Amino acid sequence: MTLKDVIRKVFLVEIVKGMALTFSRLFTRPVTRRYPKEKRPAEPGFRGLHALVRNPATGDAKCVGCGLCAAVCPSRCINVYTSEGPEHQKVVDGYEIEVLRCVFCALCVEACPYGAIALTPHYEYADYSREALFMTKERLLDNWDRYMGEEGLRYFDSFWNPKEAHFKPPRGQAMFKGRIIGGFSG
Amino acid sequence: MERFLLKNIDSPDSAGIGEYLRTGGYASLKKAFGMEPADIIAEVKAAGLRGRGGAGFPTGMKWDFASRDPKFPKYLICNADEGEPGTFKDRPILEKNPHLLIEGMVISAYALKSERGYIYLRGEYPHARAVLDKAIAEAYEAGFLGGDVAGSGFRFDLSVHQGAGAYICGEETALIDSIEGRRGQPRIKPPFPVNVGAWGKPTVVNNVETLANIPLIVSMGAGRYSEIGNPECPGPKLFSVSCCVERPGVYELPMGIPLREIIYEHAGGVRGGRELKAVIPGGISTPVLTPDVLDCPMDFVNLPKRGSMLGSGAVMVFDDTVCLVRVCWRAMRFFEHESCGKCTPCREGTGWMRNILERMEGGFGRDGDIELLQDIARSIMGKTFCPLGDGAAGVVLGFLRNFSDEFMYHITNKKCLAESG
Amino acid sequence: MIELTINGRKLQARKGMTILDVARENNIYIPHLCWDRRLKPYGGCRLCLVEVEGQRKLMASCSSPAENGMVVHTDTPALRKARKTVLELLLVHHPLDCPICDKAGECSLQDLAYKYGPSQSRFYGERKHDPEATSPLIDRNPNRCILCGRCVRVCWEHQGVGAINLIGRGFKTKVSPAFEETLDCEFCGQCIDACPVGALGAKPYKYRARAWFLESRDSICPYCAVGCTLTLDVREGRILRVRGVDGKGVNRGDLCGKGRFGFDFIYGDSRLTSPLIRTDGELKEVSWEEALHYVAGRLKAIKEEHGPDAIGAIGSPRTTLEDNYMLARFMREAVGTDNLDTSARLGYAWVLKGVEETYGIRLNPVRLDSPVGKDAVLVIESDITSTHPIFGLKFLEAKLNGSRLLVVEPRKTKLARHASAWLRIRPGTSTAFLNGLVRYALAGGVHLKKEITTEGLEELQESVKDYTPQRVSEMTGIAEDDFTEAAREFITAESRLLAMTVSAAENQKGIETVRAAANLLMLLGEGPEALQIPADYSNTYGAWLMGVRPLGKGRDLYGMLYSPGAVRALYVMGEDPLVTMPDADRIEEALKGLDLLIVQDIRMSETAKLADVILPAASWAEKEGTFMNAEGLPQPVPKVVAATGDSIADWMILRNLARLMGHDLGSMDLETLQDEISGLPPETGTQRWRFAPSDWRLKEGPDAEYPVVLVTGNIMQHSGALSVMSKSLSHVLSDAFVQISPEDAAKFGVEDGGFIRIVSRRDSVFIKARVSDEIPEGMLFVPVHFAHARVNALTFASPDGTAHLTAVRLEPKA
Repeated sequence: MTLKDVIRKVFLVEIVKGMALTFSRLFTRPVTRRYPKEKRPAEPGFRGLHALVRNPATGDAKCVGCGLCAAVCPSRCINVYTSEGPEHQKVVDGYEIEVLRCVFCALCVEACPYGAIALTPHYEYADYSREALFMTKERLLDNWDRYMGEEGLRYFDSFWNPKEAHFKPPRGQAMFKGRIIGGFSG
Repeated sequence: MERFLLKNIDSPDSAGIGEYLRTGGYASLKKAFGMEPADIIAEVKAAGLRGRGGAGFPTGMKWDFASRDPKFPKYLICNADEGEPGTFKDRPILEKNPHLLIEGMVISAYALKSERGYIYLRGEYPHARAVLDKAIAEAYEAGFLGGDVAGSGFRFDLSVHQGAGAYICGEETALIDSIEGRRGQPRIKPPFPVNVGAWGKPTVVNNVETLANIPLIVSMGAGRYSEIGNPECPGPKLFSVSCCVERPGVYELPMGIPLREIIYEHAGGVRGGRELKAVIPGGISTPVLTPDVLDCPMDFVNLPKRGSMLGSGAVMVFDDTVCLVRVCWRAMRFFEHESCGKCTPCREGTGWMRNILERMEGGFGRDGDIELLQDIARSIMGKTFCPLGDGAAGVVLGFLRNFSDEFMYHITNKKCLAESG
Repeated sequence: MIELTINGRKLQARKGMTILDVARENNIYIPHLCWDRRLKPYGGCRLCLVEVEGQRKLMASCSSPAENGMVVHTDTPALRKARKTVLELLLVHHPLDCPICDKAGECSLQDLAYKYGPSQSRFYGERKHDPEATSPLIDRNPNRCILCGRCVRVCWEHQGVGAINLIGRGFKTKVSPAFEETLDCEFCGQCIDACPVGALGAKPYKYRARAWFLESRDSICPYCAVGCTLTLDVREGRILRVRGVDGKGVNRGDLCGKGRFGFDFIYGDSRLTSPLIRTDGELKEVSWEEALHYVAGRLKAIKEEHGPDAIGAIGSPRTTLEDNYMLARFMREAVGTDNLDTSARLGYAWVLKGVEETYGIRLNPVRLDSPVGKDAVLVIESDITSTHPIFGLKFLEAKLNGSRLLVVEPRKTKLARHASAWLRIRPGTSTAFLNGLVRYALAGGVHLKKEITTEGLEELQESVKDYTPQRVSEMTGIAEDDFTEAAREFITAESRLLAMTVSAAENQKGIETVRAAANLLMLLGEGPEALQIPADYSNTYGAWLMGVRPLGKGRDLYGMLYSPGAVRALYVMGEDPLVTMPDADRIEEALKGLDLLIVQDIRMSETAKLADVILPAASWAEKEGTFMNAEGLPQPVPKVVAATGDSIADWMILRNLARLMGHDLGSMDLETLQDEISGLPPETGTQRWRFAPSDWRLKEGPDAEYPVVLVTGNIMQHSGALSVMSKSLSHVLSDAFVQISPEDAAKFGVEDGGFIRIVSRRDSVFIKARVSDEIPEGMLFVPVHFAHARVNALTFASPDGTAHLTAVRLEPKA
């Protein structure tokens, strides 16, 4: 140990240097976001909490219960329950997502032929119970109303279907009970 | 030339048995009973008679197959389901000379050792039905039908089965289904009807005109008969000439007569002396031809060389005022309506070709429609269950091959070349 | 042998095979939509086109016979183009409603379009928009139909029904019942399995699940003795539908309506969920412990007081081998009695007795494909297509393949409609008919052609000497000429088969019929395999083999149920004697006189309503086990869904009960049980032929006071008393009825749909009438399935096993 080292130790030079840096930082702008007070807006395509798209015409979910989302889901967290309605139409009785099992791959959104399921920009849904993170059809529709306002729609459309507002089937391609889309020689 | 099949039709009572007997009717029958059945088949073979229904299959060969089948009973069916647009050649025989057909059927049945015959009559021939019923009753009374035909001990019963108006029942297996009381749909071949036909038994189905030729062959002998017309497929042939000619009608002419002669000598030329634009030589299901084939002999051998067929011998003549897109569309409407629905290409394809032609005709044609039409027609050609679909595709391809500029004009100018002058 | 080349592979084929057959046999894939293994080729879809070298046109492989030296290509650019166009054309009119269609995921058109089809169609346009046609069980959506005709052909060619056909032509063609009315058929649902797209579907399954939500498990049908393999599609522990999978099981994929739609009996409303004990006349829910202690205590007390032979048990033809084996061991070891029997006593037992008396063998399993290839097939007063539908199909197949099908039957059944010769016999007289055949054969000296036994021949000759054709004609009502013609045909045939069913639910055949049939066959030199009499239910045969019958001096069913006071306690497992067995009033009397009635069942049956203790059992699909079909083939039945309520498997109940009675049976689990069962000695016996004269007389013929005979039986959509629990099957038929001929209806003033009272010597019932020309004059037909109709109050049991028709009179509602 040289004399220089001894002096450094006696006068705590290292600590003073370090504290000087600390002190100097008190007067600079912080680089981190102060999260709970300051929230970061989601970028387009951000995969937040799930929602079922509400069909403005009927007020019910756009979902027809084809189950492609459940088929494609890698973590098998989607369940769709359908039955026959009074007019022999297909009725979606239940649509369940176990959010805790979801890996947010958004394959369900990609698979949906009707654009009926969306991942909202909302990400603050942490909770202490499993139940709170078990999404039923009603809660998923509620999510849509709540987190997909005008802002949310823009976010959704600009990423998932930038050209068209909705995934409409090509003209003349699909026909459902009682309603014919398309007609003579398309 | 001398008329054989329509010999006495100008007489007002030609359908009656009295008039028929007076002009030497049922003489061939008596001659036939003096021959062995096998000899009659050999005679028909030697005469070179080919089926007049459209396909031109050698009749003698067909009979030979059926007579070699050991199963009994055998059935003889006369195909009088003349439903093709432009074809009305059998009608004079059925309405004016029914006894010739009956005589032909009895001789054929004797040759085939068949005891039961049917005449499958087109649903839209109510007058022919009445005439045939009467003629059959007369023949029964005169002993030319029934338990002991003309005292020979041979038994033959004949009745008329009237169709319900389906073109497809002109196809022999669909016809048999219809007689059996089923839905008229073609059956899978093989087995052919000559082995497994009506009710699973050997069945010969021949056209009216073919059967009407039989008494002729028996009475004249194969040698003299084969001197008529083209030696490769001899015999008299009925041509039904229609559309833009001065004198439309049925003409009995020798096989192999040039088309020009039929149109200009017998039918009086193109209506109003206008220019000939197109000819369909053998009914709507045969491809259309241009005037440069006018010198082609009309028979089963020469027409295929020129890209068409003799078919039923229904000559349809179109002059320069006729819109061929419309003709093609109209033909396709017919095929769509008559497609039985069994096989996919015909059921769906005819409808689509009609649809495209309809929009061309209506002035809504698009670029690429001709290619599309061609592609569909080629996809149908050779892939359908029975010849109906092939016919439909052949018509479209024929029109597109010879008159594509007229179709093009429809698409680009949204109007008709012929009608706009 | 034919040799041909497909895709460069040299292959061999047999005569009569098509190119497609050869390709399939050698695992070469050729796409197809309208082809079905069971049907004649149709050639409609044009997808199976192949290229054959030297042929100008593409050929449809499904209908082109394989020929020697053929060089075939199944995948060339030209073929891909052709297939693509065909699919494009099919998709022009096919609605693309896959997200809603139940077939999505298992749809042939979807798969083919994915594999060969264009990604986008060049055609757009009108699609069909016909209304959907719904019927109780089969849902038809004509818009999705691609007109392959498989449903139409399977219905007519294979099922022999012809309920639907193609109507209209061209693009407007559609599949429909006659005159576009509502579908009214036997609801076998074969068309649903045949449909390659979603045009036909099972109504109970409609919109219930997507194909990929389902888990498939194979099981054995719980209804009849054919033992068809069902493919159960389960979602989250609930069976949603049943399918037949082509080529699978003894049925090779064919199913009847019961198997296909009747599975939902396990979800019936009347299922028992916990043990019940009757206290103060009321049934009260108790725990298993309490119930079993109670039963064990009561049984022990009765055993001590009256001896073990005061206790009896009835096994079940519907429960598994293991259950029945356990019951037999329980009764013999824990209780110590031989009083043990099943409903087979009223039917199948007579068959086995008759076979033993004549052929000397103790079992005679059927072979399901036995009718095919026989020259003459004789069916005696049996509606096999209703009781054993898939076995019945083999008779139609035999007919189609050229057999002469002779049907001796009073009712116009499906077999009668398809028969080469239908002899309309007076009900219950088939023994006389068979005796007539025996006499005819003897008179013709036919027996001398083959070396046969002479034991009992003289007695036989003596016993049938009165059965001249003329007498037979008088007795049976069959014209003499028809009789002799049929006799000649059957006796002179190269190979022959005689089939019938003998069952507790049918009251017109008995041991005499079996004896007469066996005599006839032995006389013609035919062994027992020519006599095809299937057991009734899914495990009738197995229960018999498990020893659920008196092996020594124990009381049989007659001794327990029809002799009031003979036993003090009765243990009924999975059986409802009050509904399924004849003479219900006497049974009720016997049951009410018991000190203790224990009913172990899956549901609250009529018998259970009288019980002192009810033990809930797990049903089919809720427990593991084995069924043995009429062929003697043991087939495993897996546990597919969780048991209802507290119910547990029958064998477990009995095992636990034995322990409580202080007698451990040793069998702890299913595996040891199955080992024990497979260690049982085989029961066959050796053939020793002797004739057993058959005496025919009607025990209760029609007379002046009771002028009509009542025949009971099974109908197509139901089986015993079990199927009425199924909601789906009840959609088709849920109410009892009596079929009456138009002549009798006029004579007795009965209206179609009106109620009538039927009175026999024992009791009377009030029931709805259906006037039907299927029934001859002087006969009534009543299905036995419906408890509320109490049809079996009219009938009677005859312990000697002779045919026991019931004579009745009719009293129309005043």
